[in-house]
Amino acid sequence: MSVEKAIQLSKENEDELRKALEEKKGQEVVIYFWADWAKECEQVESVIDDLAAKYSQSKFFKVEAEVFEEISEAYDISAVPTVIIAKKSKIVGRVDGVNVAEIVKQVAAACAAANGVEIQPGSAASPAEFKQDLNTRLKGLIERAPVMVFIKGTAAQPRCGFSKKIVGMLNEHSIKYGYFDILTDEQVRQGLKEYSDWPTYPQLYIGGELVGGVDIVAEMIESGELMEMIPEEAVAAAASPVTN
Amino acid sequence: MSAKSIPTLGPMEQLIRERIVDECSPTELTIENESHKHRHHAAMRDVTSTETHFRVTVVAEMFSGKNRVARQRLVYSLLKDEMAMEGGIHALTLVTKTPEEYDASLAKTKPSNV
Repeated sequence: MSVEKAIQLSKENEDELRKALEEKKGQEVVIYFWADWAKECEQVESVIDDLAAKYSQSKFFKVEAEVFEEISEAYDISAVPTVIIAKKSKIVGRVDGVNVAEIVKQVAAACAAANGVEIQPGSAASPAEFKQDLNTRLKGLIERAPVMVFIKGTAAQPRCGFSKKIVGMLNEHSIKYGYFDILTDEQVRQGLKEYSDWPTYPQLYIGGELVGGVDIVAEMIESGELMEMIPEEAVAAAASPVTN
Repeated sequence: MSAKSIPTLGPMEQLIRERIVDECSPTELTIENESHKHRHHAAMRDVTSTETHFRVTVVAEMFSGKNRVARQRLVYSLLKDEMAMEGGIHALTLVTKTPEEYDASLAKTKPSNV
């Protein structure tokens, strides 16, 4: 019997995902969204491979988020890596970011019974493992994009004046950036303050390094320092002037 | 001209002033209480304190050689507990300059003669 593997979605096998989700048997389907520019996805990918082998009765798919836009949109995927767990066309689990412990826990909760695997009680990570896992997760989030900002609310709808201001400044200078809404995740909200030794939001990172909050960013824009720090790939092409 | 600071010098503002004076020996220190601007925000709904948001300008020689992140970290560390507590300092807008930088910024904003 061959070892069940996670299926890498392609144009050829795209239909398999739809079939798996609509199967009446109520089979568990785990969908892992990734992108090749987000190197931290590799860690989650290896976890998905392990889980696919362990829970061979359940279906595991790997979906390149930007290639399969409709699927990404259907699951509201705004960042990678993200793992969705579905059962009988309902989403029963979701893990954003590199949260290995949570992915393992949620997949086990959904798939263990059908695969005849006992859920081990007390298999939660020890405090040291948990901390290490959190730090890995935070590092992954910080490095998710060359320019990464942690704000309250979304880039389109910031929920705080300072977050709104920082997003405005980035947009004004045509900077391409990734964002994370810290209001959606208390673990990240508190954990990142400690990790970076910075007590407030918003927080801007360039190339994985903390640049500062809205005050520092404003000063650096005025002095011209910020634009020098932005890597080329993060500056959107300037719009060509309209000639009438 | 809109009122920028609440007339009474509250305990939190005094505390901020004392700590910064003790640690930084600033040549200039301006603290503006901007809490009233945020009073209606959802996050402030259950907060009764009138000392939640401050704009602090610190000019000190000891900032020289420190980059912006280091300067702000220093000021934040002085108020760590107050920022962590419920109903304490919710936001701090910081301007941190050395005396040279401050003088230079003043020169830039000086109105030129007509």
